[in-house]
Amino acid sequence: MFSKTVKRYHLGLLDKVQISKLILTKTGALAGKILKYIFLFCMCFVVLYPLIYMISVSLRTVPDLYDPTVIWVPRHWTLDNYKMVWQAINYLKTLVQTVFLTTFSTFLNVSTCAIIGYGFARFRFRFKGLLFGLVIFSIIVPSQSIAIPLFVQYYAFDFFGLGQIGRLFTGEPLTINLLNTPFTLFLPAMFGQGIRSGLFIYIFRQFFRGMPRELEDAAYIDGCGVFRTFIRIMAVNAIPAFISCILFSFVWYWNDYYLSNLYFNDARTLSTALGSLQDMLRSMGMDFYTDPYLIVAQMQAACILTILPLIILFIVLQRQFTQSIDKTGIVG
Amino acid sequence: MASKNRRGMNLERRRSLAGIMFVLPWIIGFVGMFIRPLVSSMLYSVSNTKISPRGMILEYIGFVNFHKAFFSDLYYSQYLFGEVSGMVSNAVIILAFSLMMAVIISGEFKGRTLIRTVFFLPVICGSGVVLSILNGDVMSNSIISGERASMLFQTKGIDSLLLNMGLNYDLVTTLTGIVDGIFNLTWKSGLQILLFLSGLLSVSPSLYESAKIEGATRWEVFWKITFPLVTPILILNVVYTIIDGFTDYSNKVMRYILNFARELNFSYSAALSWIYFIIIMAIIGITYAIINKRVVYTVE
Repeated sequence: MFSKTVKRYHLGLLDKVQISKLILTKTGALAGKILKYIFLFCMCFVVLYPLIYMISVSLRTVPDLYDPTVIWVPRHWTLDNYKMVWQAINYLKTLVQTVFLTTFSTFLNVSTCAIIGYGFARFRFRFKGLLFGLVIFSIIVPSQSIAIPLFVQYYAFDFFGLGQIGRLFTGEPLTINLLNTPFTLFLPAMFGQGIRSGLFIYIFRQFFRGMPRELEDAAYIDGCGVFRTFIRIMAVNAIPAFISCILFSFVWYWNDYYLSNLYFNDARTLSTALGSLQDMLRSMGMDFYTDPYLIVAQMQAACILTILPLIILFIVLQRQFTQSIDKTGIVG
Repeated sequence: MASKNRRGMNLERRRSLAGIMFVLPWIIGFVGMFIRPLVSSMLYSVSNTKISPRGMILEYIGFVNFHKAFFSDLYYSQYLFGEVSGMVSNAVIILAFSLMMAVIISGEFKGRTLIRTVFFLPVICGSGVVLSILNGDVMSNSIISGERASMLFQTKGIDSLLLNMGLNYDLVTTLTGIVDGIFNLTWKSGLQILLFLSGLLSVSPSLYESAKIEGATRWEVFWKITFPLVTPILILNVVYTIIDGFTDYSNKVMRYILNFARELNFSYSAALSWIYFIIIMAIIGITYAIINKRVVYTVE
């Protein structure tokens, strides 16, 4: 760092005042850098602390769990907690089901939200401001408050009132029971009412608003229709926004407990399995479930098993994801 | 001339029709899967609900539940006041913290990919059951020997030290409250950091270059260029942070409301949630109105 300065001094390019000034600023910069790294390291530790804690606890045997001298590294390593949890929640089957539900819901949710967000960003129509205000309103109302009426609605689903036409023919409205089917998750996602859809609509709207109009104008002049312009020009250029939204939507569907617990009888996803883990261990007839420490260790093992696929996915996609964030600079 | 005018009208109309087509799925979903259940929940709040094999039976009772919430419920207004006042300070801290973190990790330095990956981890696992298990376990002074490690995030000795130094009690509790909540803070600002980061990276470098040539200091550059240009993201983050804080599982009011729902007292829980949402709406409306005037949009 200083070698260059010293060299320039020996060559007679700098006088003494200049060099002392230079060294001072450079030392300041160096100190700032070191401070920054120390700060970042501390923050990283704070962020990673719970993960390290989970891994550490989940690998311990019972004596280690009671041993106050074991802080981070277990004395006796064991994978028994993982094996137990793996059996209890039927891991592979649950994993496949979770991946299926999450992938489809995410796909439907994000693609619909992009279309809707584009509609709000680029077109003028009556009541647009009001409708967008309602989008914000739908973010604010938590899903819990409308979940019970929705549950009743899915129990006898009448296709948004269309089923009432059935009265004309059979005297009874045409309804089907959607509970326990994946449609309880897919249907809201298809119509922009999935998990935090409002937020995605907002993000897409902000993103499309920031894109230059010239892109679309060029496409219109070339004779592209509105929808084709959206797919060919806007959606392709919005890939960074898509990647972030897909990641978030995937994570939120994956971690969703409330909705899937309400709509499905069985513990179909990993999160619901995690929520009812204690009962599951009990039903397996493990007589040592009564040990509170062991349950804690098993819970941590189950947590790791639940988020492990997400972490692997994230590490695999990490490069694209970070690049997608970097690339927003080119577009915006 | 006249035909040209008509064509312009037509184009505009066609555009607006296309816009409605784009938004149509949302309108259907909003009416069918949002307004309808919302109206039902409104009806629950002014009726007595009974569950029968045929479905919910409603009996109109008027605004008894709302009256009860304000005048005879011991806990509700207390929780409500606590959460609302705590929310405001929390939101400010989360926003300032996430903006600062985003500024730090947006620069070029060695290992920034690694650090960004680490900071996105809370977003990945920081929701749902995992977080509530962690909350129950890591934060509440865990029963396992991790106790010493979790002391890291507590300020047991420091507050009395600061008080002995003659500092104001409120100031000390606020400060130690922030430190105690640092785990929550980092794990709750994942999304905000990410959104700020994408906003920061979209600021054109030529602006910074010209500012440098003009001789602006880094402080000036931040307040005159960076900050105004991330205000669109800021407003999104403000709204998101407020909502996230209010609908969080650890929120006392939310839990209180859900408890009644679990006891199948749907009508009272619906009434409580209605009061709660009206307050949230008012807060968000006011904040949005204040900030929206100062938002800088580069396009349009």
